[in-house]
Amino acid sequence: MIEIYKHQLANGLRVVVHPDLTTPLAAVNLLYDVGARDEDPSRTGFAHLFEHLMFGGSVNVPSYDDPLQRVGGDNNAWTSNDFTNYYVTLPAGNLETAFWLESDRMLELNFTPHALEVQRKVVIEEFKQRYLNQPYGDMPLLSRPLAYQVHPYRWPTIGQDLSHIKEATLEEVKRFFFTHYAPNNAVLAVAGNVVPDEVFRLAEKWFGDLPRREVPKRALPQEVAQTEARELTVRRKVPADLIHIDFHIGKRTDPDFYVNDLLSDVLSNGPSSRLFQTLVKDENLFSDINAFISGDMDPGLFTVTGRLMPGVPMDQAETAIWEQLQRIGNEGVAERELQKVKNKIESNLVFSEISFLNKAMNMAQYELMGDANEINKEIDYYRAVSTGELQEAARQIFSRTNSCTLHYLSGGEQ
Amino acid sequence: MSRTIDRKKGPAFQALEGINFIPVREVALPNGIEVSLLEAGSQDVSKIDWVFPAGAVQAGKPLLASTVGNLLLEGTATRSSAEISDTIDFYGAYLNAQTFHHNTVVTLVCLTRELPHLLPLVEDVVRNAAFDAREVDIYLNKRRQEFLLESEKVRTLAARYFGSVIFGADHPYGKQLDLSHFDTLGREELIAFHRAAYTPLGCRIVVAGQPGNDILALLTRHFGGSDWQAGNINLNGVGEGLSSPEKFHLLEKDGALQSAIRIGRPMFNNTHPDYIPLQVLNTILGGYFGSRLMTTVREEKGLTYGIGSSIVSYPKGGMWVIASEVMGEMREDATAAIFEEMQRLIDEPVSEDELEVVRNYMLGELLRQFDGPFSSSDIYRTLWEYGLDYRFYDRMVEVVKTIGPPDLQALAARYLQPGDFYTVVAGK
Repeated sequence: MIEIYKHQLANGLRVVVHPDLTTPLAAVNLLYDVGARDEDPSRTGFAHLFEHLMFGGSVNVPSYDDPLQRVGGDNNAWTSNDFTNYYVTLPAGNLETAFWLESDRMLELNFTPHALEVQRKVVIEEFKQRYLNQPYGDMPLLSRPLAYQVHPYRWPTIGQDLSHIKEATLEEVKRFFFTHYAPNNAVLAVAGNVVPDEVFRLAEKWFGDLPRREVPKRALPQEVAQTEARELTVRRKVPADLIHIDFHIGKRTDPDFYVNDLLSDVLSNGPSSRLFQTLVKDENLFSDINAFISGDMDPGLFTVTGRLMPGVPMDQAETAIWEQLQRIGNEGVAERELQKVKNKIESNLVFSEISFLNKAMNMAQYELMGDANEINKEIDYYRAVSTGELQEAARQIFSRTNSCTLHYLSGGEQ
Repeated sequence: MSRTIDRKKGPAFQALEGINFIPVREVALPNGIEVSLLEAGSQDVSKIDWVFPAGAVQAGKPLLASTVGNLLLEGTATRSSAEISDTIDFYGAYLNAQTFHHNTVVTLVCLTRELPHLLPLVEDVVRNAAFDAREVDIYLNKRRQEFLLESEKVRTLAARYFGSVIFGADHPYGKQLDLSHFDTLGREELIAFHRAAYTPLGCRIVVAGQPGNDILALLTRHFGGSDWQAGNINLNGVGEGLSSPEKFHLLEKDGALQSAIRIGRPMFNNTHPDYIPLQVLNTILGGYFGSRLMTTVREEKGLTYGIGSSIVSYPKGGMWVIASEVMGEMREDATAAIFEEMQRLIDEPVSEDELEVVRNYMLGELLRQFDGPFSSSDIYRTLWEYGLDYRFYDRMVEVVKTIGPPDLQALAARYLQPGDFYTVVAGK
């Protein structure tokens, strides 16, 4: 149970606080409601490039990192298709420094051509390091456009193409900032050794004067229902064949999110899960196999992906996956099996509440989805799921017409 | 309400005094196994580590020790692999084995209320692992695939080779796993190593979290009995390292877009008096986001996504290592920039201003590292391996607060001479 205190500033900034007095530290987490889905299709990767620029100093503070490190703080950030998230941990006594730095960069960045030039290069190296110079690294660049034809989820957060990052201009950077970075488009979450009223006072002091900004209402093109199976085969210089199947499912805030999450756990959470026990251990078809859901704010994906053992024909491996998926639709799951994955969810929730930073991140995300207090109801939503719902979900999701299959074969030149 | 705040100037802040360590309770089980308990935290969760002298050094060859560790979970005389994983998952727990140079650590993380269901299973896997031939095959085939996958990454190629350059290809810290090891590892070796190393002799247990009042009774019941025979592990010695006669090594990889770089030198471990002061010097060079290397190679030149430096301590030695993946065609520029930064620490004293940032950052980092019983117990377990205790970190706090620019410059002159460093590049 996470105790949560809330307050909203006149400019729209939502503030959520959780006191955890077992730590001498505090986490300040600022979540902006902007992600790769909000990008112009000819400027993909922009939200993430922007995350880098946020560390180049702001209008009144030339360096973000230096003053934070000077008070014992540390920070990082991540960008997803839906959100951009910035977080700081620091000794609780120095909390105000984080408010100073975060409020100034929400006010206005120090936009310089030099900062853009350097971060552009850094992001290009990140693109190479993660997506081009790793075995299987380009998979998201192949699987996303297969699953999404019109929705911006069709490109990964790093961007669709290096040229988009190379061509970004300072004017576009500024426009992106003033369109999406605003108190009324963000949630500030603080967890750790703090007093809620003091956090609210600091929020008023540092963020209270920031102007509310005009944030355009999101109107993204939505996919039309897929009516036939999609397939793509590529050949690359990798040590083993791989298969990646995406199925369309609903969005994070749909009630069946919890059903789908448990369904993916039955298939692949932990060494006793179905796919691991049957396809890795019993039949030795795969060296590794996983199933997971994306949990996106717009309709997302249920993914099954595995690397084949040498000598296993692709069609045999693919048939074996389908047998396992359809078995759930045909036969359902046992009560004990469902109880097992619910137990794991419950213990994972307890483990995640050990970290004050985790709690701050989760609170911010829940508040942006509607209400931070939903965190405490989550376990009940999971507990309420029945074996019948799992079977029905499997029937709905695992059909050929709903599938997008990437065959990623070894033996290529590059 | 009208108010003005000075956005140019930050709020006042406090320097850190020190760290409040979680107290450690030391007890011994009837058969002599030492147990350390770090009881703290807001949740009723437990983390228990069983440390066995079953590392790669004792095994004497690559692959053996980690295979034995991982196969503990793949079946015993009375439980199949599937039953073991089903029990662990049903109780929402995590059980795994990690192999290091000098030991293997079996770790259980679970809700405290499930300990009575899980400890009998841990007892069984640690003592009665069966090493079923089919399970051995499955494991090694899987592991071989992972090895081949890792071998495609320039970062892995550079890291592996670097160890043999620093310590020598025959040294336990430098010996590299290769495909031939997969073909020659036999089931009998696994059984023999398990019998010798997974015994009360040299075993210790570290408990963290809120393990409840029954924890010692439970541990005694499952791990404290005299029926568990002490083994006869040969604590293989580690000889002197023999670094490569060549300072520069290039492993070419076709089609690489980036080159992985490792630059470093052999060092002593954390029991040496200069180890702690050198941590400050290392932080300045490449130990945090604002470090010299990050500033120059990433933030000024944009040659990399990340670069870092650390001093790695092993029970019988250590190394200093700078690691990065850089733009393939700019590899020479990046390497030159790294050596320039080392030289600059020798030639110019660090400013008081930069040192203040580093002092406070390091103190904050210590606070983060010691936050909570789980991370504290990992640190405590490691200290114990070196015959050290929390006083090591008291001393670190003291050194971080008091070390001055002349001390750092003298250390740089002694330990950062570019001629003492080795370079390994994988890529182009």
